[in-house]
Amino acid sequence: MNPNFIKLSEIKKIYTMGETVFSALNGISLSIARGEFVAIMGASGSGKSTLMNIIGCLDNPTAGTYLLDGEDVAKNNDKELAQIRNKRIGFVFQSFNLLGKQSALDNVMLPLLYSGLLRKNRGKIASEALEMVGLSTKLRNKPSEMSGGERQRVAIARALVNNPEIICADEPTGNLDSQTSHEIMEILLGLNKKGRTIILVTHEADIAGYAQRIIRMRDGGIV
Amino acid sequence: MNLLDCITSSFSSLIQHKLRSCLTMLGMIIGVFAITTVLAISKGGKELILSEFLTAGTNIVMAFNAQMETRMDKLACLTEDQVMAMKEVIPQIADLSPMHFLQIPLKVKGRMKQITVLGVPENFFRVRGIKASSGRMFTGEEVNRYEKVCVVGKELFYDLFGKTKRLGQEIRVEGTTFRVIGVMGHKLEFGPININTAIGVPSSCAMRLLGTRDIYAVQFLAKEGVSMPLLKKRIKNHLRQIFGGRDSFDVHSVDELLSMLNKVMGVISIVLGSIAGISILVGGIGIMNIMLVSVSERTREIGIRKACGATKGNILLQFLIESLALCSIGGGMGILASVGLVLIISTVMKVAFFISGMAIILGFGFSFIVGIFFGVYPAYIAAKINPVEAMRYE
Ligand SMILES: Nc1ncnc2c1ncn2[C@@H]1O[C@H](COP(=O)(O)OP(=O)(O)OP(=O)(O)O)[C@@H](O)[C@H]1O
Ligand SMILES: [Mg+2]
Repeated sequence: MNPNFIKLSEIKKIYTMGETVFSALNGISLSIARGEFVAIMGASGSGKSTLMNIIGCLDNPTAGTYLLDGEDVAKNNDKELAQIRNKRIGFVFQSFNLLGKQSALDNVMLPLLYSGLLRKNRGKIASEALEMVGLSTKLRNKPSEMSGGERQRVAIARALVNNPEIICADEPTGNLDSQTSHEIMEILLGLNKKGRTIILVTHEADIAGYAQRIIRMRDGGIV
Repeated sequence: MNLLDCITSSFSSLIQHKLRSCLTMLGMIIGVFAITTVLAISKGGKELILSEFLTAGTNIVMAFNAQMETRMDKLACLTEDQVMAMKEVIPQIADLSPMHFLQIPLKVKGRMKQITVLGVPENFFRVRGIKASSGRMFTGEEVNRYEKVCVVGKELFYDLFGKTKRLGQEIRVEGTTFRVIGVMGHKLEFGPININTAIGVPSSCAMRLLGTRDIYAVQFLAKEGVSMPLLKKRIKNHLRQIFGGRDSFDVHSVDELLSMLNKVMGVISIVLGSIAGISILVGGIGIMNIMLVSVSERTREIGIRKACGATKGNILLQFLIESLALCSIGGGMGILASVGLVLIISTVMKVAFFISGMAIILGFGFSFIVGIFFGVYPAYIAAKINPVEAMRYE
């Protein structure tokens, strides 16, 4: 087990809006082990999503180094970063972020499209992923024809379809009732049991309870 | 992600926005429709005119005194002997006919008009390829006998007598009455007179009316296979010799009019083509506009795609293919519409207008280039979008 699978040192994120400079992250150092289930908690605006996006290679830090599996992420170009997001990381968001005009199956196939998988194999792999989250009967449904819980399952299926090592879930239960929230968390827990590293952002203590470790943030720093 | 995937995902997004896609294509459809139709019509029109000219004879040279109409009495002129001698001197001449002109006032459709009366020998009609659309032309016999008969140009005949087609009416020319025996078929005309609105009388009668046998205009028929510029040059040189080194006569042939016509039609094509081109350009700008709207509308989608592993290149290609598809489908539809219209025009007008492969390639190629040109910028904007901000975007 690599304890420094994800290793952040002195990560800063500074937003400049004209005259004003805002530091969303001020020097965060953090290690996450491979296969760990971590929850990040903190007040609104404390920088949780910002941190998560940097870990997920969606965003670049203003300063600091981020080693993913021993490799400096900053050294990658756009294409390589896209490949990391595609193959090694799966995202789940509070607002689902599904393509509204496409079916569940098409949504789940999206990462496969960019991974260069042969067309004929995509449908099969995507429907397997949907089956795993219990949606085998709703492959053809569009997001608008599904409940919030079902949408989030589609998003989870999409996040795991490429078999990533890391799943980043930013308030995945934020828009769901508590019953559905726990169902979603069970799915994530199951994925963690299969060896995936899970990073979860949440406001709710009972949801954070699924994690092995809780990281608390305040004003862009870890407390 | 291979090209086929890019194309299918672009098309599926175009299909998802059917109405917008169609409206966007409209500009392109109209532009390409305009350009191919204009090309077809101008080309077909040109060929139509050319074929008319060809029946008028590309082997005819006209020599005439350019100031003929204004000051006839003091002008340089030829004698009958000089004219007849030219046939011997210049071996390229197959036949020739001297021409005499009078202007007479005539009441046409209730208004007095100056009408050209043409005094010609009987071979004039044969040389020029003028056929009677009704009745007949006069004969050599009638010329010799000073017979007071005349033939009237089709247009003038209709104006004078309506569409009756009845011959035998009388026209008074300088106190002499001529009987109409034929109508000269409609022709495209060149040279100093328009056959369609002229009256033809035997040269003998014309000379008697004019009171002179002086010749101010001659029509030459070239022998088969003779180079027209050469014949023109020989005639010109010979006339210059007669007139003591001066070019008192203008020498023209149909073929030089043809090249002028070619030039004029070329200019018309370019002008119309540019207008059509501009409309394609406007269509292209419309496509860019819509693509920009589409990019900003789909910011979130772009963010999602990037989070799922799309590279800048993937996004760029997707949007570029979308605008290319809009342009080329629009272009294709424009070409189809143009083919349809040209077919209708051809059947209705009984003229063989057609769309050349060149026009299709031009129309399609132009729309393709416009698609790339106006698609690149929106696609570039799309590719540059920051995924984090895109997903925050409502
Ligand atoms: N693009 C940006 N420009 C300027 N400021 C930004 C930008 N993105 C985020 N911020 C600021 O950074 C801070 C941290 O934002 P972040 O989204 O990480 O908060 P969060 O902890 O996820 O909050 P929440 O629980 O509400 O989601 C906020 O104060 C926010 O206003
Ligand atoms: Mg957040």
